[in-house]
Amino acid sequence: MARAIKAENIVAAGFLVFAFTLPLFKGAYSVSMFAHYYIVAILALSMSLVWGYCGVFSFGAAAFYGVGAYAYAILSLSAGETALTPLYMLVAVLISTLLAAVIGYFMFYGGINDVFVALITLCVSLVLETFMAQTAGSQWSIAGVQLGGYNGINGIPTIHFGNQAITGIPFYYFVLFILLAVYIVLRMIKHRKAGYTLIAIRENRARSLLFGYNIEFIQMIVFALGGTVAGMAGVLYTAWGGYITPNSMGLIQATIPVVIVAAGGRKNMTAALVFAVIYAWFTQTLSATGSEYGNIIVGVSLIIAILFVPNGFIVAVFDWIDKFIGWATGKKKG
Amino acid sequence: MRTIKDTNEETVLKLENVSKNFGGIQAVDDFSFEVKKGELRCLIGPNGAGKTTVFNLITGVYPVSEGKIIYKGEDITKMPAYKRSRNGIAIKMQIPGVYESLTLRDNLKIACYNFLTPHCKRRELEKAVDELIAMVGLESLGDPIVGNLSHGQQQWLEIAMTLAAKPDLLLLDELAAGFGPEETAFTAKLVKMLHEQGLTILFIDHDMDFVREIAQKVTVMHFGKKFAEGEMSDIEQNEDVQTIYLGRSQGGDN
Amino acid sequence: MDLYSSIFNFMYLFIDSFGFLIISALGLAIIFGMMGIINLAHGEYIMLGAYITTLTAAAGMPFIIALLCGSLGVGLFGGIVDRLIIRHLYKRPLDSVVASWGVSLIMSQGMLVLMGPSIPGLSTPMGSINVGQFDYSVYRIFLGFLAIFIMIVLYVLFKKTKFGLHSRATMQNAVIARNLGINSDRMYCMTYILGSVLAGLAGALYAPTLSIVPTMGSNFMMLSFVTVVVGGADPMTGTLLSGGLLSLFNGGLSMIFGTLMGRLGLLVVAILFIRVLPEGFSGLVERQTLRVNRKKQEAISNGESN
Repeated sequence: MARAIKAENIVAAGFLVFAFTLPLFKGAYSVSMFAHYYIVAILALSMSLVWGYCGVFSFGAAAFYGVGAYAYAILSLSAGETALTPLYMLVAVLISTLLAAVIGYFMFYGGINDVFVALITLCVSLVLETFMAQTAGSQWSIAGVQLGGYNGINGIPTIHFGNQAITGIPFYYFVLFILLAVYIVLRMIKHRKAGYTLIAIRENRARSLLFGYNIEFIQMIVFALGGTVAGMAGVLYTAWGGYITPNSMGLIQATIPVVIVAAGGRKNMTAALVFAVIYAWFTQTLSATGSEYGNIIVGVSLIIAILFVPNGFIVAVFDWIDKFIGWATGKKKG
Repeated sequence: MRTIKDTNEETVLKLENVSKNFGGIQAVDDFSFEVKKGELRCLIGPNGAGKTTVFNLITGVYPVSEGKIIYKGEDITKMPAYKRSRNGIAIKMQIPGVYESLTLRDNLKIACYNFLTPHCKRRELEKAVDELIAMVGLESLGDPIVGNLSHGQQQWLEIAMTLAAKPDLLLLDELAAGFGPEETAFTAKLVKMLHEQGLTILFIDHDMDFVREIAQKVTVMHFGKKFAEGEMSDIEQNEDVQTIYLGRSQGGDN
Repeated sequence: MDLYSSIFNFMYLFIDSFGFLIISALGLAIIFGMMGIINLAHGEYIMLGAYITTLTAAAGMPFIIALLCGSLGVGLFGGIVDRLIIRHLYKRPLDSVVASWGVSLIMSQGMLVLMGPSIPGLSTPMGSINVGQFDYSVYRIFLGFLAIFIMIVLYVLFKKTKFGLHSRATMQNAVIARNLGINSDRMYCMTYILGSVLAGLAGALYAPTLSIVPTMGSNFMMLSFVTVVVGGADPMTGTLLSGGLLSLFNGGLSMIFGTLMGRLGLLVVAILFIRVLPEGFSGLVERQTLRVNRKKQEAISNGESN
């Protein structure tokens, strides 16, 4: 199993160790922040699946994130029974999946591809943000829950198991568990037929059609699954922070997963995950210290990545480590 | 996977009055022809005659504007392209239709997946890939990234990939382009061998030596219409065919 | 409101929206039409134009000079961005989208750092007129008509000059244009600069009517983006038709439901357009033109053989 010893797996293992042991050497505040970073990573994995694996450049992650979030907020506040929050979570994710499937059908069965998918999904995110932003009036409510316009919805309960509210360290591990579950599933399909199917569509869509792949259907399914993962991230975010606003579906939010995956490594799940955590940590630290230069640094990093390291920063690091391993083991053989 | 049953129909492919226009351009104009089982037919004609468009209509990449396409006795005019692939229509395209950033074996795996049993074991897949490699004689290559292969090797790889479908109709678009004499000879041998195994082959080419060596019957296209049809020797003697290739104007038409 | 006031209200909303959409979208449309690149920093270019104009005018320069500084200043900036960044990405349109987002981040944050959260704006020239119960800005009506004038100037530029001819050739088919001796790299650079100048001009023209903050670009971005999507790749006919249609929608919906609903309507129209007409109005116009030409051809050849 010499193939298992490669940079990607080493970094993944390193991350696992780091993540599992974090509460041992960091305080409550850090633990809570890192839970948020993992949520960003889950969102990035959604993008990695749809764009990285399948080659569909979509700005839709924010839309499904927002839909999942709002759905959970409305369900948990209107039904009120906190013991059922895991159920609300599942229903919210189901809703975001369905919406993604509908939009996917609308696009892919209409022959839309490439840059037009980006355009439509960006518009969808903006539609949702704009619509939610004008729900300030008291007449705007669903199932008795005020939508709140720009201010969004507050006081959303976190996940409960039975009567036990999951916060702090247990919540941290809950999010980590979901992140790892998504990550493992995605890595598992890479070497199976599903993975090859997606790569074939990404590398040469027109040709794959003629090898018997039902492109439209597959794209729709992948897009829907992207909606599932993004919706899950949205639900977790709402449970984490207790609030949701239309901002999370706006222009800036829609572009963040794109930025992370583009700069981290679009064709590699591990790279996207690791970079997402780093990026989230970095921007949080910058804003917490009151630094005004946060976005500037992000912007510059992005441009440098695109120009000089187009496969992504983290992937470049992987390659560098792999070369080193090759050199080290090669020397041993000699 | 296959929805069209095998029949004893003599005619594998029939195009009835097929037309295709793109906006203002009539690419294929009231084109009809028939290919019988086990035939080795060549489609020739000057550039822009509509040959590749006919292939795209057969595979389903473009829908027809008018007319019918009948495959193994069934009307597939409305059948989506991926289903036609699964029913045994395979094509080697004009521009290389391989996955250049992937390895040789990965390319073949992708080609195979839709044609093996749904939950086949890895061993079955690897065996199928080995067989395909052997069929086109590429064993000596190992498993390189396909982008690093020569043009010829990529073409043969693509043929291997088309065979993964165990096709009943094989379309070859410009097989001999860019080959040296040795490679052309090998390709001719390969095509003849496939034909002897009973495969119905329809191909497009400009290399007349190649066509002469392989084709049984030839259909000539011009401006989207069927211009002439017959044995290669007759076609070559046909003065009108010579004219359209050389471009002299012909009576009142353009 | 009596009928006359309502009609005037609608027409004002229409011409205002028309001017705004067209002037702000032209820069984006030209870059997209020529290079296939969506410049996500377009909003920030407009913002930069507004800032330069406001600062120049506040320093005592006449408004016209300030306008020129604003447009040309952004043109210069765009030229630098093109030479440093965009030109490496001519063949990678999706990557250029991501890179332009980086530029956008740098610009909006950079302006915040440089100039603070806002600067004093300019007063709107030309005053206002009163119709019915509302006052209407004469300047914004003027801008609506100026938009038409700008389009005429661009039309002349594209149809009657050598630059325009080369542009249209490159837009249609870059490979063939290159083989005919047209330097496509230089075309792209000059187009990018032209697009930047137009963005700067939009910011400059609308600066007196808006509050000058570093984030003002995002509003422009969204509307320009929708206009270009609906208009398609032809910056002239596409933008014109798109601006017209969307202004009708925006005007009508805003009048009845308010500005956010107007914007919502625009986005929905954009989505429908991309789905039904991915090439926007330009594609429609092009296909109709091809069809008309083909019928003409057929008529001629039929006439001849008879």
